[in-house]
Amino acid sequence: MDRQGWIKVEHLNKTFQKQGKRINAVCDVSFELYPGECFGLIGESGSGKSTLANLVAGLEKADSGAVYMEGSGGRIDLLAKGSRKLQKEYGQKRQMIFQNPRLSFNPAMTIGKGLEEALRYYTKLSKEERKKRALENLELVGLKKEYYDRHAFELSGGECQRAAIARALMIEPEFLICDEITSALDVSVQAQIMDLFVEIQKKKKMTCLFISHDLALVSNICDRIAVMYDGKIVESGVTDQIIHHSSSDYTKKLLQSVFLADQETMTRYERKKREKQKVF
Amino acid sequence: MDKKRKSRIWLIVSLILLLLLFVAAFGGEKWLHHAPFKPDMRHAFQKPCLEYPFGTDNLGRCVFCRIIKGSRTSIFSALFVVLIVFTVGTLLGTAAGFAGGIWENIIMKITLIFQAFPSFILAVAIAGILGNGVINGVLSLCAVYWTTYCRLARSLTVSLREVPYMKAAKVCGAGKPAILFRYILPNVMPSLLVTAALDVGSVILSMAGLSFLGLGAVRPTAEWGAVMSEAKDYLQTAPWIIVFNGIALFVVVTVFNLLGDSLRDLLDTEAEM
Repeated sequence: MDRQGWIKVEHLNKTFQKQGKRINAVCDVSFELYPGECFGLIGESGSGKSTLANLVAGLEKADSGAVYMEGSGGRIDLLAKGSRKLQKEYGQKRQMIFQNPRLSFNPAMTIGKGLEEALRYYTKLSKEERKKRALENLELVGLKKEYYDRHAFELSGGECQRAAIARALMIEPEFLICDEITSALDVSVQAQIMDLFVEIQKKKKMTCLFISHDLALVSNICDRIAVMYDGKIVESGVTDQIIHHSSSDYTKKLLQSVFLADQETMTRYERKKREKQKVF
Repeated sequence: MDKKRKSRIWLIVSLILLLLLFVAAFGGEKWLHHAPFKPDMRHAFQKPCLEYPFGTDNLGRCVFCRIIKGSRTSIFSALFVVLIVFTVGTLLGTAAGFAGGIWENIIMKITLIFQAFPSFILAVAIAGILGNGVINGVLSLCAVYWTTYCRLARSLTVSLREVPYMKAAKVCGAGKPAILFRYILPNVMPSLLVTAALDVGSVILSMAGLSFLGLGAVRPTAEWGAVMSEAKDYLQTAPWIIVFNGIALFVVVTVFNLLGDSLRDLLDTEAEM
């Protein structure tokens, strides 16, 4: 593949101390994301996916390794000390959507004010302009304008996640990190949120790091997949290759468990694939 | 009637009662028929009657007028103590919880030292060192009460450190001051306000206790504790002086406790939703 990686994660390591034990949450992880692609990260609970997402988002400091971004002035190391300006530049380009939509909104703020937060810190837009943008984004995700003045605890889980998507789009990011964005929602709402997400991701041509433990979901929307286990990436590649020709034993087990749990999930993948082939 | 509506009604009732107390304390003086400080030996130890609804004391001063006059000192000094300890405790506790590390350790160890002593004994000791007077009484109570707010604010802040909306704030580019003032303080404030509302009553009692021991307000201030201290000598002959002052203390403390309770209930029902 001769494409140039836009975000490059190189030899990232992160350890935690828990009850006197040293836990390798992320162990020598490297991958790269290409512009406009949706990169899936799958693995069981506790495999280090969310820690990796936090590291890439700049919410936690890594023990070692680097996260590079191709910036306007060349390649920049986002974890390097003294790179506050660069981190701000990166901050303006990346956004994150969290697992628990309701808890990702400040209960002391209305949804509208929560949406405006990124604009408040990253732009110099006036109060009116910020409100206008927030209302536009609420409409984009299918929420009424009245939701601007509501609080997260007044909304359903699905509505909250729509609002969270709207918030992530406020500064028009180029890179979106989605950390288990559907796992706290019920099945019917999951489908609606995923339809909305896929539509927006394609429309805005955003690069996306999509984290989930749902293999069927990831295989449906991602161009490439990395499988994580015990803090390490055990296998990565194009979705098709991972699904049909996986080389790792863990991936095979993971696929097998999906087959056993839900025979339909793979047929869903096959059906989608056939639909895609028909279009082209 | 649902829980929320019930707690709202209680809140309104307690606010109305509080308003009446404030009107009596800060505007009641205008309607008084007798001077609260002017002795009138001709009417000493008069039992409650139409002229003197709560009777008179050993110097012939109207007990009702002195209660109204004293309410301002008692309520105002308690509110002042709560305001100071609330501000200092909240700021220190939030800063400790937010900063973490060595600063958190230092601030928490200081609160531990203050909390190692029984609170009222410590207040008595500090007031004893500083000498009597309302201001010294206020200072000694401030030294005792701030630790509650500091510890509560710190533990609430620590519990908020890892909540997803803190991560969302960081992702949105919020700096440390913005996180502190827009995310942490508004969320720790409700619990601290309830504690403050509940504390006003106990501070009024502590202030009266200090004055009763001769460590707070002194003569001729009509502070309720000081008046009761003076009246205890006439408990057998003129019990109405201490009884009516005691009732005044009871009513004011009850109103503030009612306010605190209804505020807590209202916030609890909102949290449940």
